[in-house]
Amino acid sequence: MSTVGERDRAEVSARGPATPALELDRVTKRFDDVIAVDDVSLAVERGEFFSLLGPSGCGKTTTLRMLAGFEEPSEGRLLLDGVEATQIPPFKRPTNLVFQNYALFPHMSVYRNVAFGPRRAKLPKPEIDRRVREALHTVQMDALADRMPAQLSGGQQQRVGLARALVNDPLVLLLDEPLGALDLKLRKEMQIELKRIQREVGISFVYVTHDQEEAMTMSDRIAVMSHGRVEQLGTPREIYFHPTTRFVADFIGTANLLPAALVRAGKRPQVRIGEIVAEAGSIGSLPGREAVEGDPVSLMVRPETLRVVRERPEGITLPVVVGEVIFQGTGIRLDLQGPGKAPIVALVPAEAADWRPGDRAYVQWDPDRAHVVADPAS
Amino acid sequence: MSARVSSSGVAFGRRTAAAVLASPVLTLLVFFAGPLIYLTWVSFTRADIVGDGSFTFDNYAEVLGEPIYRSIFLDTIVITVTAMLILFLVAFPIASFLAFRAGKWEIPMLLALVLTDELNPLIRLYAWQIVMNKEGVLNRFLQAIGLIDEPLTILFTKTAVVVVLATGSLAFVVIPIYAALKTVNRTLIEAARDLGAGWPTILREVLLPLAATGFIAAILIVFVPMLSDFASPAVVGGREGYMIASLIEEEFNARGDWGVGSALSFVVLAISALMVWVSIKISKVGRLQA
Repeated sequence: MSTVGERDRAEVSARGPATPALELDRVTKRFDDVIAVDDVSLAVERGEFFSLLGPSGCGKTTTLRMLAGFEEPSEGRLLLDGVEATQIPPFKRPTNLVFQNYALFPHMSVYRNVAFGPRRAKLPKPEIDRRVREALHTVQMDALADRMPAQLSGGQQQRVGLARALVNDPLVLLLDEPLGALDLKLRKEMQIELKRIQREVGISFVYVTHDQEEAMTMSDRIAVMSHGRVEQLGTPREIYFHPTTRFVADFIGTANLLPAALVRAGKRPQVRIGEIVAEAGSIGSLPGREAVEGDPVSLMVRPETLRVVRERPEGITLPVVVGEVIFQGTGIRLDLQGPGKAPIVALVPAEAADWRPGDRAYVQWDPDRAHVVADPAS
Repeated sequence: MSARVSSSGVAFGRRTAAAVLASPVLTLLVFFAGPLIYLTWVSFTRADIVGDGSFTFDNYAEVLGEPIYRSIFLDTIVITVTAMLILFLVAFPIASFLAFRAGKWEIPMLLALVLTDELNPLIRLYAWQIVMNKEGVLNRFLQAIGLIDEPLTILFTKTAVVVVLATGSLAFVVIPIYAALKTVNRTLIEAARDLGAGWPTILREVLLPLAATGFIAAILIVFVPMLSDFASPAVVGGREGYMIASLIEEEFNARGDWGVGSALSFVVLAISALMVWVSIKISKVGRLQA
């Protein structure tokens, strides 16, 4: 029997920390004519919190279901702990899934729900009991072990769902939008809690979400997906500040994407916006061919890196007109109109100048924090 | 305000409510409770053709004491329980298929199932007689494919009654189980698979406990009428497939002993109630264990 079929930590870790917990090697999934996942390759390290992020229909859930074994890849291979696992059925995989709708067995108590996996593994009774209690303790549900799922709130049910998966000590824990059905405040609390639990148990998490804030809060690395492909794979910081494509720049946080033409690629890229030539700190991936001057690109500037001033400052600057002034507590959001009525959003400190709609102003940014991305059409 | 607002938001006056309820209550009293009370009284009197109508426990003593009655009771229970078990074995896979796998064929197949029940029960019975006859379709077929040399005696046996009872109520067993399974979220099955359960375990631990309400409903709808069926034993049962309802009919019509007939009816009623109670109990215990 290969080690992947077993749920034995000692044996698994004997393969050494260098082997990724999970690898997708050029995986494609087709449903009839529709390509749901298109040539995806990625590796999840041991103990890593990894997120699959993207809008609905981007293939993230299909990817997760292939990891769980509910869908079989049309092409490509899946490796768990370095061992081919493409054909292993779900009930023999060292992965466990946390469902968006909890999927607790309604006719079983919390305790019996959590004990379901260990009982299938035919562990001795005292061992089952010890594990179940430990898992319930980890998710802080010890006190409610005898309740039925219907007697629990949504947040409590998802804690049980988490315990039911964790109790099996999986190689990889898969989470399918587990907080999607919870209200915002509870969701924020659970994000922190999930991160804590993940650090405590040290298991690799693969987390599917369409909520970019959620992914950034918790993840070590994020794969941003669109149309079945991985658009970018990186740390939250890389993805936020150095998106490789316009899609990623637009999907993650709020981005000002100023239409521009490439002047010079390379370490200190330069772009032309109307009359001015601006320098940027970095540049994302460009079309496969050699980038040439005049290629359509966008200059990405995050709202919080913009300075808004009344008097024309020295250096590179754009004239704007103030549209809306929105007080947001932590700051003021200014909806501005740039040259050619291009919308620009700026976040300025709450105690900043008293802006009114119609005011004329200038925006300026730190070139090091500006970033160039290619336009999709090019 | 004299009007009350019911949970559906419709306002009823007290008089209106009384008027609406009057007809069903009256109907039940006159045509259901009335005869039942009358039969209760009859079952405690000497009411055979020479009886004087005086009070007695003899009818019950006879029904419960005579070996011939007891053996007919036992036969009836064996026949109906066997038919019910066969129905469950056949109906559960059909119901699961309809609930989880049928896709766009779900509704057409349900309709087809209901249509099979539209055939007049008597026509169905005589059709079975022709099929199971010594010279019948079934025997000829079995002989033709060389499975048997001599024709089997199927008609006028317990087996014949079991077959007829089981095939006659399939729709009424499939539909409640299907309805119960329909409420089971598919992700529960995925969750069980993900947690290491194979199909036998999923069946035992998840699907059967969750479909229990459907099984109970099927028992209520199908088992009790089967217990008191007298057409099937009369047409295909013969001497061997004789059931309690045939006996009751005989007591009333042929022997004119209303006392024993009534007593028999109440024993059947008690058995039905007991069976229903036991099945509900079993399903509850199953739920706690699962």
